[in-house]
Amino acid sequence: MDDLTAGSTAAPDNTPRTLNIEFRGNGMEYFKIWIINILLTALTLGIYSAWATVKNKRYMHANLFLDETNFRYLAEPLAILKGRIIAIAAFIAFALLSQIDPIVGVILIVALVLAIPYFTNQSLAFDRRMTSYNNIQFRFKSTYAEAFMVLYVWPLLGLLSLGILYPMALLKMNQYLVKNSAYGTTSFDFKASYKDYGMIFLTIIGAGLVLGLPCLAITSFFPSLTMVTPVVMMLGYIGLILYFMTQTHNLFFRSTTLDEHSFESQISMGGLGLVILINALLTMITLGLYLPAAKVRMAKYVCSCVKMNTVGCLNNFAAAEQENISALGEEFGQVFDFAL
Amino acid sequence: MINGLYMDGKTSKQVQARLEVLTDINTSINIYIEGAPKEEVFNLTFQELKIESRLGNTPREISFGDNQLFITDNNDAIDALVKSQPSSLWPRVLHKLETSLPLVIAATLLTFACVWLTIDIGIPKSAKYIAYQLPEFTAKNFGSTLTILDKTLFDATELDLEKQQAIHDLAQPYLQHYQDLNPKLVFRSGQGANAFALPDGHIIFTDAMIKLVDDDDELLAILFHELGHLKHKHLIRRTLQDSMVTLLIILMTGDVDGFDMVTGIPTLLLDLSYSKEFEREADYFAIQQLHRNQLDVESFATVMKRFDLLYSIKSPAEVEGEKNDDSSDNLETLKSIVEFLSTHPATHDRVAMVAEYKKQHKLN
Repeated sequence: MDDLTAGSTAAPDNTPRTLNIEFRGNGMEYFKIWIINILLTALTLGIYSAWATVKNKRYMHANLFLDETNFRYLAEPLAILKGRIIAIAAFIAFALLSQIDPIVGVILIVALVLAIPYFTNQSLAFDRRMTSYNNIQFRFKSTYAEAFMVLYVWPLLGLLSLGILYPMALLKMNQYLVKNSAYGTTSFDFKASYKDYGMIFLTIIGAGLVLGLPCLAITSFFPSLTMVTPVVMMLGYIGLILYFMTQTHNLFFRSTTLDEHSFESQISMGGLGLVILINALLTMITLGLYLPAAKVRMAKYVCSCVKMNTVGCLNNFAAAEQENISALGEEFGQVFDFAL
Repeated sequence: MINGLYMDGKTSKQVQARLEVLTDINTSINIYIEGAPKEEVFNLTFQELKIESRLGNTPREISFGDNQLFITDNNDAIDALVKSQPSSLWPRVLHKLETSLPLVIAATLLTFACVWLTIDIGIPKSAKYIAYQLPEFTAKNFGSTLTILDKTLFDATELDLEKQQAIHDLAQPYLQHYQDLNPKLVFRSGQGANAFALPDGHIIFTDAMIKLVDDDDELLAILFHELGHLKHKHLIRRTLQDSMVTLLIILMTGDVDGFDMVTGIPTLLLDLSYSKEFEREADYFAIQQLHRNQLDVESFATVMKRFDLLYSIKSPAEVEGEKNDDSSDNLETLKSIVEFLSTHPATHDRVAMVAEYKKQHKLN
């Protein structure tokens, strides 16, 4: 009972505070819920999967605490089941029709490509809408055009400009995700710039050259050491991926604001690398049984690195009016594998 | 008395609250909201409360009225309240399942069994059923597949017309038995020594393949193998099975994201294993047809070995299946991994199938 105290009411207004974000899930506890989910899904030929999804998401949300208060996941399994059935039917029709006639297949792919921005918007809207904190729901509102730009046009420009505009594509994507999100009636803002993302890419290119050129030189001048360079290259490659992941995540949190409230994030390469390594090893050894515990471990680590800087209390956010969003977009994203 | 927090659903403000159960005449529930200068109280019946099912030890959510919410850590007290009221049994059974270690261990084993049965029997059986239920026009409309392959993978054949006609003449009497499959023999160059069967009935021989085969029986062996793919609708079944595996993996791990490797590798391995099964089926069909048409079944084994020689650096002795004394254990392990990761069965297995067939049918 001690956990649930209305702590924030005690704090006077306009006092800056740093709030911990904490994940209180437990690997074993989640494993039990997860394995029962899978068993019941198998026994009901997949129908229970909608209830399983809701349970899994509820578990991840309900154990996420900010300022001693947890998040909630509100979706109804039946809404998800409905979306899932439609999405799976569409997927089977898609797979079969494109086998029957390649021309029909091409038309279907074009239709799918055009539909993806719409479903992405719907999916994000559903997901935000079903997340609540302090009994206030999040929301997401964007336009088809913006989603289309962010999903196709910007990445394409990034490619055509030989990567020069790629940081811009990443920036636009994160702006799309954050600026269109709101907590109740209050919108989030995203303050990162092209330069912020550009620096991450420049560092990676620089490090890649510093690491890659000597390796190339060694291979050509000392052929006997050829066996060593792939190992060095591999480690370097993993290091750069880790660098990219940590830097973009940290930048994401540091650039996000909600009114005067902001976030800080200290995810480190060593910390994240260790979590990924342990998770991957244990998941392989246990034939996948470690997956839920791996997810808990990852959530615990990331949450331990993120803090929220608030000015005053978080009590004054107002709810937005209700609106209905079907789970179809979410389920399309899952089945056709374009979820963000 | 159950202590907790109350939120009115209009703002994010939290207020201390407590829930009390009154059992005077009818059970009613009072939720007291602390507030200055005086306390507010909601008097509700049990039916007016929407109590979320218990999930681990996460705070319990009780919603009522117009998006109002009472949350408490005191899960046990809420469980006792729910139990005292006429309510559905299922949530409690589920919570028992999700928390008892022996039941969870049993569930784990049962899950492995279910997944194994689905992959080993369920998916292949249902894909087969669906493939044979598909109306005939489905397969015929594959026509343009060859057009696309011509533009992407193949070049025109370099065989002279005489040679082409000779092969057509050779194959025609046998193809006639399979009019229902609508087989059409075509020649292309490119893609090494290979033969393909498209679902619309096109059987493609590459020039290198024609060069590889030594005599007519060997060529027919390959032709029968491809006919076997058509006969058993392998391409459609493989597509169906791969889609089903994808769906199965999404259903199982869809909520645990971020591990593409973990979901991608099993999909690939299962596809390879299904592919090998289909090749074996087509091999058996080929051997059977050779036998039925009074051709030499051994020619299937011969052409397989020839095929293997072309694509490997093994010595002929090794292909014959004789143990090479020099080969170290490491090489053997490597070889078995390569076999495991290949779409086709190992040559010695395919050759062994011929020997097995001959033994069963008492052929020389």
